[in-house]
Amino acid sequence: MGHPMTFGWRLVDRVCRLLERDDRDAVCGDLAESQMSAWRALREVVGFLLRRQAALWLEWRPWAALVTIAIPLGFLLSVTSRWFADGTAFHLSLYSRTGDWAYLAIPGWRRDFLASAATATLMWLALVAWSWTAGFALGRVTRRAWWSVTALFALVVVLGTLASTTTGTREGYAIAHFRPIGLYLTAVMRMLLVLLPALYGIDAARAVRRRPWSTVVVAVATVALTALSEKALEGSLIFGWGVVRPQPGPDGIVGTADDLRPLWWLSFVMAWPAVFVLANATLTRVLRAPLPSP
Amino acid sequence: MLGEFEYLMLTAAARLGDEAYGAAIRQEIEEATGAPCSIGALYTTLDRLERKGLIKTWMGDPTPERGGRPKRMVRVTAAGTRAAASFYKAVIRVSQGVSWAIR
Repeated sequence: MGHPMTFGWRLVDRVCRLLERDDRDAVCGDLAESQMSAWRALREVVGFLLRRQAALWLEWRPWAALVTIAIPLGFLLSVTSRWFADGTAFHLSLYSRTGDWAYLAIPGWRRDFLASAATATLMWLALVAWSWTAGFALGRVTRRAWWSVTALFALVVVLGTLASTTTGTREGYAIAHFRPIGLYLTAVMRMLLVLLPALYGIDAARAVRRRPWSTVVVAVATVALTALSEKALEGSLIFGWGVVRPQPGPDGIVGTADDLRPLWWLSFVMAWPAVFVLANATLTRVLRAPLPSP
Repeated sequence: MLGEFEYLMLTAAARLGDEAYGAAIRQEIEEATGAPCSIGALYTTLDRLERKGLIKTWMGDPTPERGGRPKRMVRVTAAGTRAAASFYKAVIRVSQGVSWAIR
């Protein structure tokens, strides 16, 4: 831009980057020629951006992405990230208050500790994988309306549990010990393990890649992680199970009094963007394949 | 039938001729009306006029005074000229006899 790069003009420049290339060139060039203040320029660009996005919502794509990805997956990721954060906070609190590195010499303690660490890592990886594939599907379905749908997705992730009063409680352990850590950890996990991977997924979807193998690998890993964390995923919604795998009752059925089973469909909801990624990669490959000679 | 803002844009673009592009059209409209013209309104109306076939736009060459960014150049098509002339005649006809009409 032809203006001194003050904070205001830097902000204008950042917002301009959200525009499509031709729009960005035309609008930013006009602003560079003008004598207007940075704040008026910002208002102008934001107004233009909102008009552009509003026009895109007249098509079916943003609505499809909102209804099939942003709202359902955003809500599930919101609830799941809080539940996983609570579980992690519980174990962090437990081990930091009662643990001692010397206990590692005790086989039982060591096994429990490693199992907790492995389960928590699995949950975090699952969160990252679900978020990345959700972001990828969002990016592919929405196309030019990606950032307004992404903003709504982020809103659902952050506010998804706002009205909910039920939080995880662990039998035999005071909630006050881990709940404050869980609150901070929820915010951190949503930022680092949900929103950031989703943004990377959107970025990958918008980039033209000749070899979609890396996306296929992530999609397959997501399906595997979903299968492995199925019970914890279900537990995050009924607040009955934590990161510890529940034991089946005498009837052989895993459940609690407030069990809302069947919840098996949750895994399908979480994994469907991965299926979309696989279908998309297959389609891309088929379309790029040379036609057989007559 | 054109909208009044569409007519203003077509007229400004026609007056500017080969120098018609976003910022210049905007300046023409602001000077003529005395009211601010937002970039959002300008470019969304340009898009609409182009969809209707009343103007043709293309990206020009980058210039240093624009920070190396190209202009979105505008040319009024024959259909645009006819639509603007039709709008103008309608305004003249409907304004005859009213107190504010220029005699």
